[in-house]
Amino acid sequence: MSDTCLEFKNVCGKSKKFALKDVNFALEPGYIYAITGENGAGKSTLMKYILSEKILYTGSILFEGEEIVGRHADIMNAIGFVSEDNVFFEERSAIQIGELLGVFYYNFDIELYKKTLKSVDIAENKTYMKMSRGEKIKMQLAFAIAHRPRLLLLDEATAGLDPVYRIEFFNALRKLMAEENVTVLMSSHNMTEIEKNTDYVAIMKDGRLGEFNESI
Amino acid sequence: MKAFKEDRKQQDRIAAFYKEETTYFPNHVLLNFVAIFLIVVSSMLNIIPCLEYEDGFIKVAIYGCILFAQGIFIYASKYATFTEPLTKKMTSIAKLTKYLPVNRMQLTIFRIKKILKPCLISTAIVVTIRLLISFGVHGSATVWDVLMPLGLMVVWPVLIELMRY
Repeated sequence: MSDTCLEFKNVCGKSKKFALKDVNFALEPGYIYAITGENGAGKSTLMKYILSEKILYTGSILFEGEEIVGRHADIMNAIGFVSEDNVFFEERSAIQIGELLGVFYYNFDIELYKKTLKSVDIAENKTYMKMSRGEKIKMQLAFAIAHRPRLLLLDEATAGLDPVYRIEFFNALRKLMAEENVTVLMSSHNMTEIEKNTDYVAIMKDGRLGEFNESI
Repeated sequence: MKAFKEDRKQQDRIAAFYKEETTYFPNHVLLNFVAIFLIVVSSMLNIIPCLEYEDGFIKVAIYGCILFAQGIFIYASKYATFTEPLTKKMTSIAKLTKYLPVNRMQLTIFRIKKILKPCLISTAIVVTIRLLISFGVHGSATVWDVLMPLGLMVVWPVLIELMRY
């Protein structure tokens, strides 16, 4: 078993429009890492490199010491992703979504999903389209947690949430991290939020990522 | 070529998903009806043997093949897209499963497996009737009476599904 959860080695994007440039970092398990930067700096692109089935980069991305190339399904079993880009059944309730999409995971725990929904105050029978943005993000978090991921990717998950929701979101995240051994990599451009709630932070600019430093 | 290999576990999970999903989407019944109607009608048009083509029947056979491909495409659509019951908004299954532990190629393989059965059954029926008519009317048949249905009713629909990937 590798000492690192996620590692980027000389990762450069292939796209001519916008691409990451020589990104290098390694994440140790059990911490919350944040990437901050302006819109268009490359934060979401970095996550897409990890999540995409297509190889969008040159260099190496290692998950728990092994290359992610050609292992999309295995990797997605071990990673939870929370983002506005996620697509769910709009007219299905939270519990129906869990029952329908949970079948794709080999270890989806529907009871844990129900428990997490309850702990973040989301009614099981509430339809996804009727949820507020904050509720959708919390439901996604519950969904992501229910298959017991070892890495959680949160792409601007807290953007546009009111302060109460943000506090609740991070409380739920910390609680879940205490129960499960999860590493979190999140992107945000809210510095105050990052300083208060994360362990390490790195700044991204024009596709280049600085070093991860301890959050103050 | 590794990507074209069937992954048994993923196929089982996709099957489990569609088993759950059909319980929520009654519009599948309508799609099934339209698809089967087109497949049956087009198969009837496709039974004309090749030896009849010089009498202008080729157009009928071409329409038959186009309708057949359309029917199969609609039949496979329920495995490629889902429609929200109230808003009727359509979303691709590939988009829905983009960040889930399933490969796009496995979804395509699943769809191809689903269309192969109706394609092969229709082709077998069409070829048999074609040969019976051809031998009955002309006393002979051509190799195209077998190859044409096979190409247009099996290979073509499969290629269309691969292109959807």
